[in-house]
Amino acid sequence: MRRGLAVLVVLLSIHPAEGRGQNSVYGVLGIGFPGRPISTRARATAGGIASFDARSPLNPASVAGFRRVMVTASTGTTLWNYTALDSAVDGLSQTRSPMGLIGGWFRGTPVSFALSFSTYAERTWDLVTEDTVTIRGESIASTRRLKSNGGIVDLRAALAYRLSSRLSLGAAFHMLGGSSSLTTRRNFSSVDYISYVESNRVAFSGLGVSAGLVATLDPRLTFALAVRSDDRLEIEVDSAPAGSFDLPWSFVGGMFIVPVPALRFSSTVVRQTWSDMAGIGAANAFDTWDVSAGVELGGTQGTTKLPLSLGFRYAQLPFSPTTEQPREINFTGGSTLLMAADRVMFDFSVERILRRGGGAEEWAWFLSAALTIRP
Amino acid sequence: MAERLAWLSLVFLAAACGEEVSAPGMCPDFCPDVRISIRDSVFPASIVRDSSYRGYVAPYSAPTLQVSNGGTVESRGVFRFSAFQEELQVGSSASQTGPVVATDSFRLNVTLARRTDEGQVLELAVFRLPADVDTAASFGDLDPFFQDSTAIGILAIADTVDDGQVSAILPGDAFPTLEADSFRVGIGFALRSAVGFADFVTINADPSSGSLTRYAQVDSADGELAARTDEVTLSMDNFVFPALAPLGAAQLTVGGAPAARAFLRSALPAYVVDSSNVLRATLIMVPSEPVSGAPGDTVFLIAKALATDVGPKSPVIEIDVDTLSLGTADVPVGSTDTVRIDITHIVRSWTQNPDRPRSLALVAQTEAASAAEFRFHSSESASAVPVLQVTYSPLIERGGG
Repeated sequence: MRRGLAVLVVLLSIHPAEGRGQNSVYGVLGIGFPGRPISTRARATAGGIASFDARSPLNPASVAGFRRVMVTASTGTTLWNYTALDSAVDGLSQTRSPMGLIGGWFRGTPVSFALSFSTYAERTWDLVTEDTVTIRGESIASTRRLKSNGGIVDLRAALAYRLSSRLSLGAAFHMLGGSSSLTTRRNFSSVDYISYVESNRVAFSGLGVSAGLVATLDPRLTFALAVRSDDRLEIEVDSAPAGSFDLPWSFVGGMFIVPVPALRFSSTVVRQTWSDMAGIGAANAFDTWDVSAGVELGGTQGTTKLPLSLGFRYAQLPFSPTTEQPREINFTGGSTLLMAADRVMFDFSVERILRRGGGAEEWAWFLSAALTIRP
Repeated sequence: MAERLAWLSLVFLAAACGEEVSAPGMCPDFCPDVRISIRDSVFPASIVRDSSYRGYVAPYSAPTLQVSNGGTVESRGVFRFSAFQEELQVGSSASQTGPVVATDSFRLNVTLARRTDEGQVLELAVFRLPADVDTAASFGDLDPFFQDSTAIGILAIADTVDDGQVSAILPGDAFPTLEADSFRVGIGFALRSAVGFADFVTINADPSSGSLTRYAQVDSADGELAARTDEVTLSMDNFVFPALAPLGAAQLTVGGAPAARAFLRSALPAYVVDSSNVLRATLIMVPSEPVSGAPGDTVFLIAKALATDVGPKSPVIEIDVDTLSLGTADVPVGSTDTVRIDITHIVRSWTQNPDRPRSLALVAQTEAASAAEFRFHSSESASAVPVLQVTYSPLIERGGG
């Protein structure tokens, strides 16, 4: 069992370049659908605990929580349907590996580290449109298929310093990379016109830094703060420069309340300045608020061995085809199983998601699972 | 318990792993910023430095020959057979031969490949030609031999016969100078009784395509006459027709016999050939005179790409296409209609092979097998130059991201 799980973790971890997150009808806008750099455990709390969670590459100060080496990888499946422009689409699904991380600490020092990959933006979609074109006086039915496969990946190297049991500081260097293969295919109903396929490879690159702190004011109350600044996102199409865009600033704040060990409240708020990217992909861009709150029950000595996590999230989406900013609401739940003398953790979460705005409404399930090994 | 739950969850996730992201596009709101436009233009000066040359295939090398009348061109068939034997075998061994005392008749067999699709009986008059007739003989040279005095039979093609072997019986005195001609004969065909054409297979290597059988009486050693046959096959075939008017200065020609080819050079703008997806390209040509040839016949034009452009000896290349109509046009004799040939595959090959010359050749499908010839205005014409009409989609303009 343990050997099998270990193999699975390794397999999930060795494909960082293909790490992608959930998809959405909104994913065709802007630079794609923004990923969430949070672990499956954090997802179970809707992201409420993300700014404190060492396995979530959101706040580099949380890396101080690593007191032993661990490797974690997750997988996520999205099932979704949507309505837009009076048309309904259902039965869509996608499975990706949205995050992986290896972390630990330098023995005998207060310094911890983490290397991770996570989805910065997901750019996978496959759209088929049909229309009629008039060529040489003839009306000809045409099918156009636009397909994109890929995304932007955030590779992070983080260091955290535990100043005391009450205060940790962290900093991280981010490297954005990844690519998407874009395929455009057009077929005609008339054999007189040749179908064509045009393929392009769009590559992305960028750099960023982040810093944060985790401060425990009281054993029952902990705060987290983080800020992230990314440079410009450089875009190349088939190795030729195709422009660059300002990436957003991110500001993170969190609160963790533990009235009793078996009951833990957490909340994380993220503010991102996406409006700098207005115009990319002909989409409107907006700054976003992302507010999440969750509770973890049990999982500590003297309580249930199987913790239960619940969460709620409200978030704004950055890109819209109209001047109306889309919103997102998540209801989440999940748990963590400890196995092999606590050396193996299996996290799973279920999210029910509603996105609405800009002329579309989308309902989705997101199922996530993660394996963590602490040798 | 925990391990079972973990595996159960993994199995559940694995079961949900089927990927289906294909969806109808909700454009333009929920579509990526990819702009695809389709343009269709006639490029007026897109054909330049065009020319045509004759002599690629001679009529005596073509796989068929044509006999026709009633149209702008009358063509006549010419056969020469190998020599009959001086003596024929009369005994059981090959050395037991005897001289031919008398010839009862001849049987002429030829193989019909195609004919006028009119459901009418075609009668071809058979004429005796000089035994030494050769491929250099012109229509004018042979015309004196296509007279009633040299007519030796009729080859009738029933209205129900479209192809296959047809025969005629010729009288025994059809070739009175046979012995003086070293037992060689030449014959000619002319379509007499109808308007149209008949194409005959003349594959010299195939004896069944044409033969002449002599039915003779042979003097045997015991003084008795024996009936014997002697069959000879084609040693030369050809067809002749009056020379057409010389080609005008602003004319190009394709087809005829000897076969002519036209070479056209493209001057399409680079933004079409190099920076677009060509969806359809059509070569448009205007005949400068009615298509000449036998009534009911056609010129089957084929456009071919060139491997290299070295003038009249430019080698053509075949490009595999999955649409039969691509690169071809069927032009009926007598037509003055504008001719359009789809050359999409050729123009796209220029994009895919930048080293390939942006030129093409127009050839007849079976060269020199028919007198039919298509003449059209060249790029030097003051009235109607050949042009290219191209439907193309410029390379995709991608918005940021």
